[in-house]
Amino acid sequence: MREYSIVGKSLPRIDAKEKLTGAAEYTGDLRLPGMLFGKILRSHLPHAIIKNVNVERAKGLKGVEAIITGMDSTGDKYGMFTPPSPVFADRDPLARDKVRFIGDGVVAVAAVDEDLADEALDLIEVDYEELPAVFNPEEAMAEGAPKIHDYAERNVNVRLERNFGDLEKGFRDADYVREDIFKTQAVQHAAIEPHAALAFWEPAGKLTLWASKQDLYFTRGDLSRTLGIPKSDIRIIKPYVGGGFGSKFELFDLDFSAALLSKKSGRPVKICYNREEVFVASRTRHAATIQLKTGVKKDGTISALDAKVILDTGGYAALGPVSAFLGLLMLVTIYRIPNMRIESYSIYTNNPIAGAMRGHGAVQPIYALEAQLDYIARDMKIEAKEMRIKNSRKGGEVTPLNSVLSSCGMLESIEKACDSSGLVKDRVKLPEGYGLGIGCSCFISGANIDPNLPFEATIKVHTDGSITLLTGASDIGQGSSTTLAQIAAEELGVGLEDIRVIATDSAVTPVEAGSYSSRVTVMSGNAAKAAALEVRRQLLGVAADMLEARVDDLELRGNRAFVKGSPGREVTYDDLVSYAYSKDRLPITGTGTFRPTDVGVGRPFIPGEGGDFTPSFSFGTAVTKINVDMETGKVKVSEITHAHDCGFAINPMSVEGQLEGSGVSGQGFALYEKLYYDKGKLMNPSFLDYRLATSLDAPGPSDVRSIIVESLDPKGPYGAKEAGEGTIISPAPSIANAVFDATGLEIKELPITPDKVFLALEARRGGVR
Amino acid sequence: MRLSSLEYLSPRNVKGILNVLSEHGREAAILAGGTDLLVKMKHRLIRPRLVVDLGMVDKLRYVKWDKKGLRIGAGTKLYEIIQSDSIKAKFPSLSQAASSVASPQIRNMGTVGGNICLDTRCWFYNQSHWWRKAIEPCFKVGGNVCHVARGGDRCWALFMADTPPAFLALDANVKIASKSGERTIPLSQFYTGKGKSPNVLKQDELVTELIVSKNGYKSSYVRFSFREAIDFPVIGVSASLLLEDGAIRDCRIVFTGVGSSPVRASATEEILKGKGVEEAVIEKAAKEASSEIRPISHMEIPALYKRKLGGAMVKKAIKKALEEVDG
Repeated sequence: MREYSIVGKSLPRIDAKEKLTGAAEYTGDLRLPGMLFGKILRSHLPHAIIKNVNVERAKGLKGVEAIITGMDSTGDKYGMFTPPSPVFADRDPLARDKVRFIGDGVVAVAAVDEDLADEALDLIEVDYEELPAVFNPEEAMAEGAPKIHDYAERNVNVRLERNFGDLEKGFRDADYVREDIFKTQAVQHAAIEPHAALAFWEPAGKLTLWASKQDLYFTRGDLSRTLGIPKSDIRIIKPYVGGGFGSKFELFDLDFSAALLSKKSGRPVKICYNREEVFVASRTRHAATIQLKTGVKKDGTISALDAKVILDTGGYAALGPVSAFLGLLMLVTIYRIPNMRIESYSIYTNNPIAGAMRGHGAVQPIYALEAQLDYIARDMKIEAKEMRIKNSRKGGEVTPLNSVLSSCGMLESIEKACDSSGLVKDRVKLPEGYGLGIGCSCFISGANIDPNLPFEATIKVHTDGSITLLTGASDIGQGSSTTLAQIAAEELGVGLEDIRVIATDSAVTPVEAGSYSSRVTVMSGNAAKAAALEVRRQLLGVAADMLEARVDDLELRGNRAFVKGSPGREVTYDDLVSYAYSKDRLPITGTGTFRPTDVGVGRPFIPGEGGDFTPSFSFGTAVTKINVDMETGKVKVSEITHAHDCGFAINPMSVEGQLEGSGVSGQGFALYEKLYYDKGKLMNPSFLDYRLATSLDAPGPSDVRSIIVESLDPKGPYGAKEAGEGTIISPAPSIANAVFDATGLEIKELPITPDKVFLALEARRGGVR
Repeated sequence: MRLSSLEYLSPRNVKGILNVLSEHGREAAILAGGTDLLVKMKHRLIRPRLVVDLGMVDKLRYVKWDKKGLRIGAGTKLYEIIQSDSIKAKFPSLSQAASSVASPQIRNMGTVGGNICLDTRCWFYNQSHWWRKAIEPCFKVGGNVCHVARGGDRCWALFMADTPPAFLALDANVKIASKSGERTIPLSQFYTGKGKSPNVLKQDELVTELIVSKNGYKSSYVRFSFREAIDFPVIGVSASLLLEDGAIRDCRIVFTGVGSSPVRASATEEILKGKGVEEAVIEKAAKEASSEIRPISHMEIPALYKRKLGGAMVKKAIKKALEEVDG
């Protein structure tokens, strides 16, 4: 392996100081002269026709400068992808004809201060005709259920099915067949920064939007469509973002409303969600029902899998079809199973909208599969670890969906996580109430889903020697700007501090798809590397002139260019730049574009379409140790060991951060977090009643072990793959399996709250009648 | 969510506070730590025209001992209870209860008086103005339904404060002042058992002091919550025990989180009284407690679980109180 200077090193984030000192400005911190504050009136009914909206009284309130309703949009429904498919484009930015969940935006108001805007909302009268509503997918699919969207028969947003091998034969060949139904709950990203947007419609007719976003271009396309102005008239700037996790993707009502209210008022308009709005009006992770029938041979080989995944996508699809496909894709990819049928549904209900959330689509079905594998392992008296090893994928395999696994560190992650945690060794020795459990994962490294969105980066060496990296990749707290700067610095032979990153301003930075599907490190990383190599080529050309050497003999490192093997024949980077300047060879500019070569642009999540879209997959294993208080049913996580194959860690500290954060977040999903709905009303829209794990619930720092597995993928920069989403998949099943190990209880519904554990224990003791 | 505009007063003495309360009655709200009040105001559950802040009244903030026993000013911060070594030594249950409230930040702001006067909670009540528009007004806001116990004839909001059961298990008294005078009543008479209005405090009255005169009792407070911080108790139990020659001469067992006020488990106490401190006795008491309390399913926690948990918590509380004997 090549010796690296900057990549592969745990360097502090380039924006750490700004964030730690509070100097970093988020969208909500921004202020423009004359700025107004906007608020959105939301439906308090789950399903109703909007008969009339009367804003006259609100208009009369002094200080209210503009009011808009759903009728002020073009009427073109929007959703992911162009050309729009009805399975995505089912939404208006503010509801026009009817509302489909409690929280649906209906009217937006801009006023000189927030209190006035709030007051104005109280004066708006919306006449609703209430419709029957439906709150769970099973009922929504039944005959005669209320119809939420005209096009969607039985409220099916999508139904995807893939068949591989001979399922019947697979079950015939099996020595043991087991069927289970698992349920997972709706949860939320809970990014610390709530959604926010600031818009200014300049007098010349052009729009600038500052917004807390993971992407610029889907949002811009949707804005263009719903506002009826060309994309070229819209500039979107992403300031610092305090976490996204999938919830800040696509156009939201506040982006549209801020823009149009600014047009109407002629003044800048800012809208910030409060926490309750984030809870009810942004996105959730789909609640899911996962039905699994699995056939296994005596030696632990899985011979058949028949799976059905039903996702509750809420009142609108958002990314529902993608979510449904990703679950299917990950069930196909994680283990080598010759015979499969996988059905995956995204179903409309009158619950708030579900969408992408870290581990998108994979978290739910992989939890179910991993939990069931442990049940099977116990039933068949096979060690849980062996069960995984027996069926694990290996590098070079081609999956039934034609994904080429260019690298696969699954086996290594299993071995390392088990060794380090003592899964096999210690399991037998644990006292009653203590348990160890394993969970495995795989996830895509990026999605190539839109031909109009290439992956591009530009690097400029200016006349003063400073270096700027321009990228559209959204740093939403995951550290992508640092990762990309490390790549540029590595290739240019300079320090990380020598690279200035300018990111995510659609008028300045190159086109980029955004931060989703764990694509930034691989795709934007490759683009940044290509840009850096072009600049490097030009710099070496200058150095060759100065040192009278051949370019091939030169190296750039440590802020100098030198002839390899000839000590002393070198120039400093500063001299190199001065020389280039004197010869009119500055500025040097390089643009790099990345297109995955062996992967097409696919939209396999749209019924009838196919194709592949991801260059590589990450793999990983978590092993968790827990204990159960038999008197209260409470599960305490005491240790987590988490090994992840990220191909190559460009910044190991960042990868460890992802692993640690995933552990705690996965613990929340497994044990505490749940959005409780009562007829579509969210009962716990606050950080008091929605129980995220606190620092006191998480295992202590010395009990969290992060292990980086490097399988060096040929398609990623330096061998890198994703490390942001795959990491969240394995902790929850490892905790569920540890509870199973400790108690023998098969709890098939998350979260595993104390009451469930206790009542199940009591039932077994015969204490509950 | 934001506060609506209001008038803010901060008198420097108790008299000043009482004058404001007497003059403005229902229009005034007492601001102590604000950890509960401000959230309720942002939710528009209450819309006081003015708040009167106790923050400048130093005379409400003390922990002292005299011949009556322990006196705690109502404005004393919860962390000040935790920091008091004398309270920890003599009434460990008070210390334990105060330290189980929410989080360090909330304990730094929250006061003893505020915790004693804490309102009952319910997922159908503690919500924003917009949220509540979706439902019929319930008893707690002056309506005629309970969304928790549908068909019920009263408010079932839950009392979940941590320190009241500890004070009650020590037979504490509470001093209440108004412009027209002062009265001291047993804390047990302070609570109404009504979800809608859990205590007897009138609009012009202020809780000024808690008085604990018990002597020689061993005490503890244990609570169970789903997460380790920033969580109200599913159930909290305070136990106080007077031991004589290895037997329990007298005791109190008081719950929080099982009804609309703190709940004393008298039948459980009877089982313990006069018995030796033995595993079988404790076990029997726990069993009795399980059937004595009558929680309903609330905030997604099943009643059956709460009942069983109540027994387990009584066991833990008694054992913890006894540990203090050995320690």
